[in-house]
Amino acid sequence: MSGTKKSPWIIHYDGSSCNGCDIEVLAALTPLYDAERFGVINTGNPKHADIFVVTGAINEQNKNVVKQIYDQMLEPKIVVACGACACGGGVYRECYNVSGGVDQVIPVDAYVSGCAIKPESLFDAIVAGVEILEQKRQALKKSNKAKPNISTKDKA
Amino acid sequence: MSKRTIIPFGPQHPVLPEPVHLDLVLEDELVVDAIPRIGFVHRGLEKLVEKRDYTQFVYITERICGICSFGHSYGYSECIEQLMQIEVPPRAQYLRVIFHELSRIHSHLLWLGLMADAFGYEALFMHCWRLRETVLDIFERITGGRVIFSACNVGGFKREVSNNQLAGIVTELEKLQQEYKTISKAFLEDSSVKNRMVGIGYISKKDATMHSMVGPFARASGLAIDERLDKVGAYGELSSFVPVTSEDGDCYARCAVRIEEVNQSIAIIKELSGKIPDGEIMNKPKGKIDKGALAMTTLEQPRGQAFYYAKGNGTKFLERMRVRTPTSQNLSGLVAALQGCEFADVPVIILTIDPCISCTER
Amino acid sequence: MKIYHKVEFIDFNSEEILSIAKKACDNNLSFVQICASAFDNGDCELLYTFKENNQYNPALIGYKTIVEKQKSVHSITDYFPAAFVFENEAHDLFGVKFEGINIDFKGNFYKLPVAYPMNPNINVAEKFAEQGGQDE
Repeated sequence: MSGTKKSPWIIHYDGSSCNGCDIEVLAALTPLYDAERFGVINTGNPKHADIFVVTGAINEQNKNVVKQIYDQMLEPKIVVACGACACGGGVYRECYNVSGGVDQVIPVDAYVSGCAIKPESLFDAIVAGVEILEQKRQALKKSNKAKPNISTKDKA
Repeated sequence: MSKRTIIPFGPQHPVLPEPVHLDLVLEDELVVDAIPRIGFVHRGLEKLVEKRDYTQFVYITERICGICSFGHSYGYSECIEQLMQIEVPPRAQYLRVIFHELSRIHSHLLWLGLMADAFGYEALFMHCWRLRETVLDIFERITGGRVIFSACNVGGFKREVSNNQLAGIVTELEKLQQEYKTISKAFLEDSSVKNRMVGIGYISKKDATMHSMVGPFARASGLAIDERLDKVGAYGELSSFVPVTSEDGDCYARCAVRIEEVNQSIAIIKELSGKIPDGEIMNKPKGKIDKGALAMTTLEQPRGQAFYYAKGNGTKFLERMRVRTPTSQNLSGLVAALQGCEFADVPVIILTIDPCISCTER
Repeated sequence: MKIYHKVEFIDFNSEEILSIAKKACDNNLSFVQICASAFDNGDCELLYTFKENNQYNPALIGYKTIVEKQKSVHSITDYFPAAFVFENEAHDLFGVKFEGINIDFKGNFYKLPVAYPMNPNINVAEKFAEQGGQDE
């Protein structure tokens, strides 16, 4: 499993964002920035992913979607909140259909500042995130050596 | 008649960068009807006018959509200027148009990339996005921001761009155009790309008028409508402007129209930066907005006509602010284009209207 | 240099909407949008915008009307199918009732935590009564 550090896969979810951060996340994967040279691959399947990248604020509709994606991901996993909206609502904080940042719903490990974010700062977050991922992996190894890691989802 | 099946499409779909939902009614493989449903990213920005005054609200309008960001601040500023009868200095008018056309280039290149991705041409997608970085670099160098850069404000333009810088932009765009030629050839002449687009999602000129379609979607069906023809602002200073149109009305025509529009935008930037007048770039607005004052304006965004409406209430805050974006106008046309197509073509047809959902829902 | 668009505002009675839409359709005006705005007493103002199609200095024409909160307006989707987006939106955000929309979402176009967020002056009881009727 130590390969994760060399090749973290990300899953990207667009909350109610303005697209600015979404296209920057995509731009980070395209030739100029080329995150793939670090082994970062954008996947659509939560079970494949190690890093959950969320852009945009959370509202009543996407609350459950974000939770579901997070629950489906296997441990160890980290969450990166991208941009001012995902961190705390941003300019939309006072809108009637926005409830706030991603950390209201799921635990966040790295916050990326900026409106919109820059691809470079996303890289920083992923690099910081990979360290946290590694720590989580070590902790997990110690705590349940015998138990196979099947699902972390609560049965209730 | 065979049995009808309803297939939900979206809101999360690999081809869509944003959430939109369609209920597709299928008879075997043919789509007989499509019912769009939006509302996943609705934020309620129009209500924020009660909490932000008219100069602060520019930053909110920029964040309606990250792709058409400059266009929205341009349209909103124009609307408030009409409301308050502010005259914007000519140099600012020129700079606004130059930046708006740059935004169009970046938006169309982004769309071409997504389109290539939709029919599975990954390498072409990467090349389009690599070229797009040229424009983003220009933005970053001049304003400090890549996609949202707050360059336009009520009364004028916020960043002085020297004539040397403008000449530099033109040189860079000329270089971009050389590479762009190779890319457009791949879109227009590659037989596998053609197979996916020619004759797909046809809309006749009559239907385009009936569904009040706007932007490249309408122009590809032979409607010569373009807000730039109204000659508002520096668009009136162009020696000539003829909208790019096509009579074919299919996905290929929409792609061809957008490809040609990039060249047209480069030509506009070249012409305007050649004859830009010197002088002030900001005429700062003062005071309050009259009670009951009304203003409306339209603007040609990369996706088509956008509409802005503002109403004053005697304070620094607006009574009502309205943005109508091109995608909401094109939804009806999209439904018409989807009727009668094959299920496998649905993603390509949806992409050819260049949907921008966060614009539509605000 | 022309700085602004030519604009016109015309007031009309909400019952005449179909004849105005028909006239706009016959005169080859293009449909731009419908905008609702709320008054303090819960009534709404509707602004229908059309654009002239001539090449030389086309005007934006705004038809304004006031709709009282109990009344409903006839939809113009027979003449301009693209209007369904705006009519559903005006219903979901402002509580304006429309009759005969070609694609009627019955209040489910936007997914919202509160009913009619843009028109806070509609009585809450009315909101719930109407919502109960819509969900079916």
